[in-house]
Amino acid sequence: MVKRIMGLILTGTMIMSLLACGKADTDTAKTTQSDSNSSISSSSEDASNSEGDVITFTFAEHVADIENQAPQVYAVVQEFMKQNPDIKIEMTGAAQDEHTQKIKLASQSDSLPDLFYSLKGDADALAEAGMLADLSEDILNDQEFVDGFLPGMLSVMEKDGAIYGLPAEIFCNGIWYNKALFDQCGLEIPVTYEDLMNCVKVFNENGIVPMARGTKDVWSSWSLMTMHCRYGFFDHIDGILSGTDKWLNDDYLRFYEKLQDMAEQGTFPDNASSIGYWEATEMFLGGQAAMFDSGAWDTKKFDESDLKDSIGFWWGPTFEDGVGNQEISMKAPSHPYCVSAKTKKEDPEKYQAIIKFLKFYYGPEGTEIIAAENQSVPVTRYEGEIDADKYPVFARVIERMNDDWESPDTCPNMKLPGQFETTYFESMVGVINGIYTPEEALQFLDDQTEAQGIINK
Amino acid sequence: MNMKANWKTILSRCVLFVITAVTAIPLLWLVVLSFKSDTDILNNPFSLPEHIDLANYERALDTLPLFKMFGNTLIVAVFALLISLVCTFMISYAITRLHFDHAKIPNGLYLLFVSGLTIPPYIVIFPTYRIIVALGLLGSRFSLILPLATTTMALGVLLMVGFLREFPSEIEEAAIIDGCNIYQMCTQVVLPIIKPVLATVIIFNVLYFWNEYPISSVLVNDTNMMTISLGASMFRGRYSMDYSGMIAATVIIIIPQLVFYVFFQKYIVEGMTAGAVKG
Amino acid sequence: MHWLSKKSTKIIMIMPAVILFTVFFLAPIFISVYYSFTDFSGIGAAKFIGFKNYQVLLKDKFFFIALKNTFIILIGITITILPLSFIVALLLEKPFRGSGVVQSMIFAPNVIAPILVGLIWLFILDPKMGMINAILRSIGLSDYQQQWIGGKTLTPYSVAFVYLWQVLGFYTTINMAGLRSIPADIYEAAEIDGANYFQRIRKITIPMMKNTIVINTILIITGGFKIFETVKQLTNGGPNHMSDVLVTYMYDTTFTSSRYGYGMAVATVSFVLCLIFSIIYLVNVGKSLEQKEG
Repeated sequence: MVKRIMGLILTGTMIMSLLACGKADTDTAKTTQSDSNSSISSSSEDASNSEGDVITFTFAEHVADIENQAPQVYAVVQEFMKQNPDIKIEMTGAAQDEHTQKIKLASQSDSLPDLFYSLKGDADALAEAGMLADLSEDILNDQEFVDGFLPGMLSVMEKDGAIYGLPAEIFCNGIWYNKALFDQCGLEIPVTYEDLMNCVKVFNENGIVPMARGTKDVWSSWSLMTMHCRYGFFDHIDGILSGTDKWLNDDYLRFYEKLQDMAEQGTFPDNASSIGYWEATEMFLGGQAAMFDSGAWDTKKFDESDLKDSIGFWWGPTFEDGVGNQEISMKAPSHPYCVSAKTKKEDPEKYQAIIKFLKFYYGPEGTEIIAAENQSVPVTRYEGEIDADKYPVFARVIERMNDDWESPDTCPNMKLPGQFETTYFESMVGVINGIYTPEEALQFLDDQTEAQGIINK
Repeated sequence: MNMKANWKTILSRCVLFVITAVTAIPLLWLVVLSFKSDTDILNNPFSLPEHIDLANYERALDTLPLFKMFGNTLIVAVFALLISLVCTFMISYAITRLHFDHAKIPNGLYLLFVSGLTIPPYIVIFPTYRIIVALGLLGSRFSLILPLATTTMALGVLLMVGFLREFPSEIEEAAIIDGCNIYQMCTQVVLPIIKPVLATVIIFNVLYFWNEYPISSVLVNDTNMMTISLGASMFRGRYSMDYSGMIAATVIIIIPQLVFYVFFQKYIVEGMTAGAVKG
Repeated sequence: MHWLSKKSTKIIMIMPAVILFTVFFLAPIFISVYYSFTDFSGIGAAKFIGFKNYQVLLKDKFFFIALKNTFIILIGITITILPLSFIVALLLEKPFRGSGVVQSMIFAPNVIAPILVGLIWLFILDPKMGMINAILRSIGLSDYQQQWIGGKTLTPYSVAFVYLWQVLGFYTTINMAGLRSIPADIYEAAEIDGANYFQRIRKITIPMMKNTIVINTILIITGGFKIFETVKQLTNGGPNHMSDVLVTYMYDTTFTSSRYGYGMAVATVSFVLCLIFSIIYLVNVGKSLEQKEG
């Protein structure tokens, strides 16, 4: 008898597993009927709302405390709701990695939020699985709207003529510098790599960390990617991803040798491998480091710090033995906001509300709120006034944004399949940490390309 | 005789002092850190703050809806604790006291439950989510209560079976001769005997529910149902961290836990065991 | 207990636990193992690829580094936690003024959010700004400075020490519960017979705590295999996976790199190893216990 029970249990387990694996669709019905306030599930309760006076849609962001950590988004949402009392936006947020997990889980149970932030790699997968709405009809017919975007912004989620998302922000990466420390050591802001190495030498002699970096957070390698662009990253990458070229090539090798050179000359802190991005930021803000690898997202923080009058922003060193145009900046689109395909299909009214919101966010009013009131670099053109006294750092960043240094269409890491980004970062960081020689690092990338099966993925 | 006793006491106090110091100093330092700013924390970690600045605590209290979170944790903890304790007790008793035709069955059950300890929670969160959705529980409190109750059963079974095995069953056999049934047996005879274990399991379970993170982060989507353990993640920005706020929040969260622990150990456990030993 | 052991009683007693366990534990594990045979990113469909993930695993340098680190930590914590928690429990057995406070101070590290455990110990162990090296510098022993974390070799040992700090109170509490269930009369009888303190410990306490020691060892083995947050906060498994342990490597592959199928293969191998160790231990202990009683 007990044996029979054991058998039943085992069978029950198998059935349960198959149940959970297989059925994703029929469950949303159950979920929405239950009394759930769950903000991730796209409840069809909302559909009934749209017949009433107010349309509600969910907007999931990738920070936990939206008001404080993504204030520009919060501000735009509030203003939009004020101007459109018949539309309500339910904002939810979670820390980046939690948010990514939730989106993945929601995709498995067909309960994606209506509007949400997504990493590009995940967004590509979602688009392929047919879970993202194609926004092209509603966007491309509005020429004024399209022209408002900075060049290249709309291509981030463009696939075969369809547009599956709009960039949440700009990847405006570069190197911050603390002019006061340069002046103190009698140095000019470097232009070439040789200038940079000279500064490194002088800073080390004076006990100042030349460039703050925390390799514990491998993804904080932004300006390194721009440097890689100056060594022909885009000339080889298509070939690599289709199997006709290798990571271990002469151009890339010269770049990785520069990484090794930088590390050996003491450009980075000694304890880089035990600190992360936060510690590096504070190292810079505390006046211990002369430079800092990061991007425009830190602008507001820097404008609120003691160093605001001496913090500047540059695109990084040019290389004598580089490949192609050396005056490369990074003004590429970042990860996108996407709309759930389910919403577009099942609730056209709600979908139109979302479109209306997006046109507001990326339109002149939204841009004004983002740039002027929250010192965040917008994805759209902004020609308004910036109070350089109140926001000196932001003013300098906008100056750079408006210069004539060309930017690639995408940031290198966004060109890679999502799963490979970390591997790419690890190869660069590995050279800096002294774990890999330049050849080993590139060979590692070739090996991983094969092991992870990403060719022609 | 007296000299020896004193010497031993002094030695034992010294050892305890050293161990407590090594354990406690990082904690006390955490409290010190809670009064400093982010930049200060990194650049001058060991210096004492110039003045006691409560800004971090204000920010922590502002960011976290503390009462709601405590309430949510409490609800989850109470239900999960009840379910877990009842199930664990019943199966531990069955494994150690009931007679099975094959000895392999209780051993097998024991191994099965103890093997629950080998699984790090991150492995199962995705499948658990799918199962919760399949059961239609997503968004209800039970989505969190049931998985958490299950994960604590492994430790509970390990402890209870261990202790029950140690206990000679004469008292229980006497009770049977006196003619009691299974229900009376469990509640009136066995339960009082295993009070030390029960108390220990309760403490560990409650504190586990308090601090559980991976499962909660995935199953709790509604801000109204956020538990205390998710509090720290409220301070994590996209690339930035509000460490000073996080530390202040943690100090606020730790204190009740320590109070609970002390209270439980001192009054309840000691009270219980005084009775048990006599019996 | 024959009298009580009716079929219906047995079923009622074991069913609730077994049902819950099956649904929320066994089923997820089956699903995870299933995924280890697929190529899955977390989104969309999972493509079945048979044993390919396991083939890649066998050639994966990082996996074996993680395995090695996990073992170093396991050995380190076993030889320290067992004796130390036993001693501390003995010292705290008889309550004295302030013993409650001491006990809760020793236990307190167990309840701090892991992210902050990492932060605290970062400031102690960091080679450049950490307390240990700072103290060594200030007393003139700069040559003895080490890369406690962030280097290639010492991180697992540091992690073991941090884990010890975290769980000492936990194991002490278990030991105290075990100590308390030893009836006082046995000690009294032994004292009358003339046994001194150490003899009492050896002949009475340790044998009667056999089950508790078994419990603790199982918890240490399984706990050691599961160490995650500490490593993540101290070094994030770095530099370049040099200080990864099994769970951090699994997390990295599954969530950070979105290679869910491969990550589940890593997870499956990890927990099978842990299971094997635990079962071997339990079976051996079971045998020796039976022999003693027999």
